[in-house]
Amino acid sequence: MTTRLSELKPGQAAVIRRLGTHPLSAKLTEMGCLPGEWIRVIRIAPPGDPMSIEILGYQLALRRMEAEVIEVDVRPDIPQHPKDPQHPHHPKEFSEPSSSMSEPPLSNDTPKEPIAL
Amino acid sequence: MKDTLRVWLAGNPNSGKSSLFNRLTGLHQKVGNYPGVTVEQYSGRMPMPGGGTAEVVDLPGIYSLFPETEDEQVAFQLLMEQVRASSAFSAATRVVVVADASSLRRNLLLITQLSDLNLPCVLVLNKSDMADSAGIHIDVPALSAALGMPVVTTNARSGEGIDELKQTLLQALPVHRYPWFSDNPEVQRQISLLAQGEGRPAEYRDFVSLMCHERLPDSCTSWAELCRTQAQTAPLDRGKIRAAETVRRYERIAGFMKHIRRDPGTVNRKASSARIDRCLLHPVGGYAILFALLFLMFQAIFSWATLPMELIESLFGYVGGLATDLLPEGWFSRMLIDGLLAGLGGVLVFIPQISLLFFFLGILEESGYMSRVSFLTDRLMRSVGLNGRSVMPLIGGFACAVPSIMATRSINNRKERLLTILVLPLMSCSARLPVYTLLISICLPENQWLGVFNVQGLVLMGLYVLGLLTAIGAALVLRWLIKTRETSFFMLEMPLYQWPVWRNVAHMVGQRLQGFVMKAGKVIVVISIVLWVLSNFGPGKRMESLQAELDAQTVLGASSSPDGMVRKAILEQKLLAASWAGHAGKFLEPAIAPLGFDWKIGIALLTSFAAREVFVGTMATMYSLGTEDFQVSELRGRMLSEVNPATGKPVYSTATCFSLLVFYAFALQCMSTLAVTRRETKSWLWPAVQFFYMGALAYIGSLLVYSGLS
Repeated sequence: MTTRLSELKPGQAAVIRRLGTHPLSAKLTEMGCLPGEWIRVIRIAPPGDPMSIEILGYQLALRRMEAEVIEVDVRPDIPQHPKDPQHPHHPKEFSEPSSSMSEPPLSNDTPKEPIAL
Repeated sequence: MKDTLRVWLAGNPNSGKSSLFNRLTGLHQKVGNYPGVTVEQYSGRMPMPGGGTAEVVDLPGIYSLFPETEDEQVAFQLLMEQVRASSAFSAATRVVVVADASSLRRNLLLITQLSDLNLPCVLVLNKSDMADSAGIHIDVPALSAALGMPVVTTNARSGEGIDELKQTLLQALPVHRYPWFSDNPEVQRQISLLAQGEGRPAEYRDFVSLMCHERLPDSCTSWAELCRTQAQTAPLDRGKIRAAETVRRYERIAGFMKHIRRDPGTVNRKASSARIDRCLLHPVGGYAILFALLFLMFQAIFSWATLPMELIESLFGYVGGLATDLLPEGWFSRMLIDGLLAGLGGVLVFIPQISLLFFFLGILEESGYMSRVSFLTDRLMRSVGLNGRSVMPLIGGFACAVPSIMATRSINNRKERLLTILVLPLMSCSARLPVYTLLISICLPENQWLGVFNVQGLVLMGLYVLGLLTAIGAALVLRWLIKTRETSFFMLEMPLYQWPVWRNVAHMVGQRLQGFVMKAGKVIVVISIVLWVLSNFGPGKRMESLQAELDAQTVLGASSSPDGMVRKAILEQKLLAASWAGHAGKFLEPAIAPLGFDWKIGIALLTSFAAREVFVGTMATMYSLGTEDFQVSELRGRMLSEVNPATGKPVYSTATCFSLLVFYAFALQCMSTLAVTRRETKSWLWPAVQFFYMGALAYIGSLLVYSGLS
């Protein structure tokens, strides 16, 4: 089931499907909200906003408005805890390989890696 | 001594950057300005092995190179400036990127960006003990090979790894010159053209410049202009391109991290942090705890500071007595003792309270609780036009508005930031504390307890709450003045709880206290002397004749009889009234009489326009006129016994005291705040708005309180 992160309940985990077109998408991506990444709502602040989520192994507080930008997939096979044995540390294993955020996928003749790794 | 090396500290917020900075530089720190940009810079000097020193500069914490907020922009501009200055730079400069080992993946984003800028980088994996206890194992040699830079593991808390880091910094660091390609053909075309103009292959910096050309530093205007012209040739969806680049960067990081990081165990520290969160963020308990913490903080500030304050007072009394004995008789000696020493003593006595305040704020910040406060209050703050991120600067405003106004740079939305700046000086800062303390001790009995609570402490807390509530109210009104279309964001990391590093807290207290003493000290020295002159000289011959009369009384031995004491006191009063300062106060009296203030308070209001804490110094100077020795604790007694000649009632009645308290709670009597608001808003309009709305609040508030109580 596809929904928005802002719709999830505390404790519920999901996998990020894509980020909508929004001025904050780039910032959210930098904070680790990546397509294919495991994400979990930890709690919602008492007034109903903001919410705190777990992403990339750390805790991030987001307003609902910001969480609405993030589209997520909720499926029964998603572990509720990041340290479940079947949970990979590597993204992309839960979701479809391509995401709408990416530029056209890299072809083999794309020039050498930009990052000095 | 000339530094042989320049070291820049970069890294994510909460990565332990400030711990490392304190560890490296120890007590050799200073707060200055970055060259070119008017932003305070924390820099320090560290000794290097084998002699020589290195300058260490602490950059604002950033998650990514691309700036969204003002403080991220500061770091971005400094880095880009260095990248543009290029070759000469790399020989003597090192960039130390600090990363928290327990959330390495997110930290690596910035590290790879900096490395791609061809900066000579060293990666410091900090908090190694925590990563170990969390069961995370990192293959350091493999990480170093993957990143192409030295990696040093340190624990800034225990000092482990610091020597190794220094050794690494002494070596020449690899600077890569990888060409950079974008997978977006249009971006690729534009960055190639930009680089061709400089006769070199395209590099990552060209991409960054193209994406953020409006934020490039002032020193590269022509380059920024080139980028802007280039970007206009074909419109690019920069947000989307930036996000896509970030996604690809993370993909590569994940690719090599699989082999570098092992994470077999359950995470204990996270679990305990989550348990603490369950209490501190509880729907009801969370707010109760927040309120209780602030309450305890202010109770402690009042009661723990008593003993050291008495010590400082008696020290000044002793020095004053000593100076009177040693210095020759004459106006200059009297100016030094009655003007300077009295004014200075009146302010320095508050060092214990101010230290305690910064100590508590430091603990809240260090432990990770401050971001929880933002989380709890964001919704409320937003309903009055502020942001959860406003809370930290607002609470910091309890200490001092000046650094707190600068701390609003983490709020990206212009309207929210401006509103925060405008209402921030309503928070009762530490400079008001001396005034509050003095006035509260005059109008309320000491050691009165309401159950377990000290009444004076309760009133003090009431004043802080009054400031806070008024700030919220003011935001509600002022929000209609400011228009913006920018999006506002919150997005705040909630770091794991940790025990505060006492060394960091101590450094913070030291830094801020030094700032307070230097800032207040300078103003007070000048004002005390000017004030002394103004209150000892006056127009015409009236003062001379009064002085002669007073001298005659002294010769007659007036001090020995109660009657003579009174005669002498009345003469002293007349003397002050005849002086320049007395004339100024009298001139002001009609305007402030409805608030319950006499002309003496008028003088203090005038002098404390520059800085509030001068009120105490002024009072001390005025009430010690014509006496040989001065003791700060006497001031309270003298003010208490002050009688209004017209009514025969005490000048400092409860109504006047509370009216003054409210006046000082609201009025913006701080030149530094106005100056920093001007600097941060780049306009004189906002400091003017701030000054006049707060002045109006102070006048109306005092008027209401005085007429209500008298």
